[in-house]
Amino acid sequence: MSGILLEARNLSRDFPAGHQKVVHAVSDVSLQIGEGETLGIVGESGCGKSTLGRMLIRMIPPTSGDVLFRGKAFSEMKETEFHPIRRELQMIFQDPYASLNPRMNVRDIIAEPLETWHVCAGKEETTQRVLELMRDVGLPEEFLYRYPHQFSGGQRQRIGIARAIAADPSLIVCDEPTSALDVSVQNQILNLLRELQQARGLSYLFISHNISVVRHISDRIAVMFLGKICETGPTEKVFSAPRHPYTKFLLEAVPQPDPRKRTETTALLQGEPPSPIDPPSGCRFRTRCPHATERCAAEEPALKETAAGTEAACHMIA
Amino acid sequence: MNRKKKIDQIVRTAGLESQIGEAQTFGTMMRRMVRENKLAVISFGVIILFVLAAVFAPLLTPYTYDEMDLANRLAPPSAAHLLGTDEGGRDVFTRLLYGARVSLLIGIVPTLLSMAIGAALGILAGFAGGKTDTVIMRIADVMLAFPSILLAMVLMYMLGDGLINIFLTLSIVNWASVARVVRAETLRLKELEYVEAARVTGVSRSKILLRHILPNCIPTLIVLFTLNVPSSILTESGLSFLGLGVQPPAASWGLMVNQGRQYLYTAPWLSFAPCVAIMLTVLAFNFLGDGLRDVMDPHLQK
Amino acid sequence: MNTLEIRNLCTSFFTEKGELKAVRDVSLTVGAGKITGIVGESGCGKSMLARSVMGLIPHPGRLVAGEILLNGRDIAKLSQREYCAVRGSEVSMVCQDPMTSLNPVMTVGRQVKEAILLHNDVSGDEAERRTIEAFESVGIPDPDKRLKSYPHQLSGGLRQRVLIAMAMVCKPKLLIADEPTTALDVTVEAQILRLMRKLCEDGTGILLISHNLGVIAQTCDDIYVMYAGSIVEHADPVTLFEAPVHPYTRGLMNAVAALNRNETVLETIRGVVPNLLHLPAGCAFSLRCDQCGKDCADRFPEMHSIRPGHEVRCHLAGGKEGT
Repeated sequence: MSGILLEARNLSRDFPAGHQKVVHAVSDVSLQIGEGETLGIVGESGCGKSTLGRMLIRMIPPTSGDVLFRGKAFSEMKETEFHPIRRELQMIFQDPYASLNPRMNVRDIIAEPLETWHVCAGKEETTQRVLELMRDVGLPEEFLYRYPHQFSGGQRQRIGIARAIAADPSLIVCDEPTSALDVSVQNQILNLLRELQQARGLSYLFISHNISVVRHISDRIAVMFLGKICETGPTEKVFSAPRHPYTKFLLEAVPQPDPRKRTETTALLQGEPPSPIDPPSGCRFRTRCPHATERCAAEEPALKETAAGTEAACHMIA
Repeated sequence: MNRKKKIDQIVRTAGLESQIGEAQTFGTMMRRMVRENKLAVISFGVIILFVLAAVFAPLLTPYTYDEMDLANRLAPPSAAHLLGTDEGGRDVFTRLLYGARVSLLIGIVPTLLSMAIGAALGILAGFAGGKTDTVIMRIADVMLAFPSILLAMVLMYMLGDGLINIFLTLSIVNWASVARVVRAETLRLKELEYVEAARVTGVSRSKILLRHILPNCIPTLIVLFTLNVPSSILTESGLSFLGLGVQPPAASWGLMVNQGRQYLYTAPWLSFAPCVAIMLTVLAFNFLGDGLRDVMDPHLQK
Repeated sequence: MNTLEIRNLCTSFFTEKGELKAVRDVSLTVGAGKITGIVGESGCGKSMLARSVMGLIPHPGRLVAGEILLNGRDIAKLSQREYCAVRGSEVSMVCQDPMTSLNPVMTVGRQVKEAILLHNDVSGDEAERRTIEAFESVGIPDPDKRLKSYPHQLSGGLRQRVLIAMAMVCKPKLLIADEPTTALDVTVEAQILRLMRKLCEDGTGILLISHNLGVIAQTCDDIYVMYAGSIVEHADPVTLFEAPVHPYTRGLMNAVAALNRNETVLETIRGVVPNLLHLPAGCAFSLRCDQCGKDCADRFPEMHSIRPGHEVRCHLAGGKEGT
């Protein structure tokens, strides 16, 4: 890791949920993303991973905590001061159908960031640049003036990727970019993301509920449960020797595409995720955890180092 | 090999045909409507016919709309007077043609005006949110709470007669419902991922409105237009009926119905002809609106 | 006897642009007490196959040919009225989205109770008792309290359990589960899959439809791979996952295995699924197949057996088909 690109410090975000209740979507999350690094965020629906991703690129303001981009804190910047940084922080969306304006053709969609940031002089140069970007993401040039509905999900996702890289950002938040795609197409997109990263030195924050996908693309990962990071570290270390009980259950629950390895007898995580409106006291996982003790209800576990570079938040880890 | 063929070949070899459906452009939507909804097409024909009749009125009749012929008062329909004459001996058919000019103008001009006001305020309210939204929408609620004909009567009474004042009155009466619909549409569009994507890209708010929100409101606006035209025509008919709209000897359909009222038993053709004209126009716009709505609603597409 | 036997089923949609063959010459069997899986990518016709069996083909679709034998009785030719008696009592279905499949303004207990009263001549109290029993059998905690909940008060996993309870309440012989876990989290998915295995213990046959090879590998006794409307390969799980023959199945398996082996460059299948309106004359996969020969482009391959219990629809698979 050559240097820290983006850093989150104690980020929290609450949303009002009516009747004076509050959803604690993200609570006290700190993380770092290095230059050229991919940080994966895994977690089940409602764990706050999308909210976290959007806070990191200042699309949602945090309730408390701060984000630092190249050492500069978001909280100390006004919207006008932040504007040039907007260009550095881009996003790829989950739904390739909803993320492209149906009334704009491919050229105009990809040209939008180029025009916004005045990357090219004149229309002709912009079109040339759009064609280069289309080549980079594997879209045939002939599709320049086609409209989004004329493409398959995978191709639409390529258009979205071209739009995200057009203005040369340094970090792209990928919010479940492959979960709407079929397996074979998912692999094409993952290959493309990796190629682009190598060619352009991009950093990714890769959000997904699909553990195999995150494992493949990430250098480091953070496992989230109910708005908090429960385990983080280099991908292979965390996945080969998970320490937090939730990570263990999560890995075991993934159905393996191998009929000889049926998990008919292994212990399953019981129950359903608790509500983020009224999270359990102490450790948020304790209501589903088979090892929970009184201490887990009384005291919230902090992240502590379990091995070089890996951290987990659990009282059971000595 | 020409370019189109080359593209087609690439598409074929890539096995991409499946994803290349029919483009949802205005042209293809119209073609689909022609294929699927004959009623809407006939309605469109009726509207065009009425517009042409209004424009070319002097060519279609030997009389003028205020030409009196007191010897021929309240004459029943005949070869000389296709739809008979009124109490001043004026040709009803001629007055119907000239009345179409006024009634259609009254249908279209205030609707366009109220749509412009309503769309602008609706988009502003939906996009800005907060206090702007509250203020605009509360004013709209107050407008909608009044019975529209009552509001129109009060306004006409205050402003006085005249075509321009009728236009103004009807615009003021109708903008609120347009603003409501457009605001709801804006709120929906604002939450879509492609608008979020534009925000991430750094596109300015005004550009997001113009490039991403307004164009996607247009189908809604077209449908609203066809639904509001008949309502304007009907409101004007009501006003004329109450003596607050167009003043004689000028003709509008609503006025003609009102004038014929006194002779309903002795000369029913006086009211009958403009009534049928109003009914046909209103139905035609409604059917066309339904057709356009069906063809533009993605949920109803096969 | 097999619970379900489908023979040469064809379902088409008659659109303005021509006949869209959603299901093409599909034959399959579901054994009593077995889970039979259908795996395929989006748009391969697997959901339309399920709806064909349920007699719920949306307009302008129509069952064109074939037999659907439910316990030996052909239900393909039943009228809509006769079908209503079969649906829910002999065959039922669980769909992907547990939220939209439940009526939001009715308690879940009442919805299940109505399903019971529809097909059985029993008293209201008896129906309530059976509802509680059904809730217990699918692992809903506190069933007598949960009866009074509205769908939005339940989590996704519980809603899916309610739907399964509703489907199983009349003890159907066949349960069709169309992507039953796609909308659920992994930890909940594992629970539902285990419930599926438990359900078939008392003789119910399950037709499990999924795009997820992991789900299929973990639960099914017999697997059919579907591509562009037709079955391309049929085998038992171990054979299918360890020795797939059809190039499409091999491509799918490689794509998934590559991801799990964490290779730097992942294997993919080139191109995209062909348009069902303009299918190639020969094999539907020929446009994307690396071994495509002349025969493949011209002639639609027949399903043929390469060893007992292993059938493939490919000209290149071992042994010659009946030429």
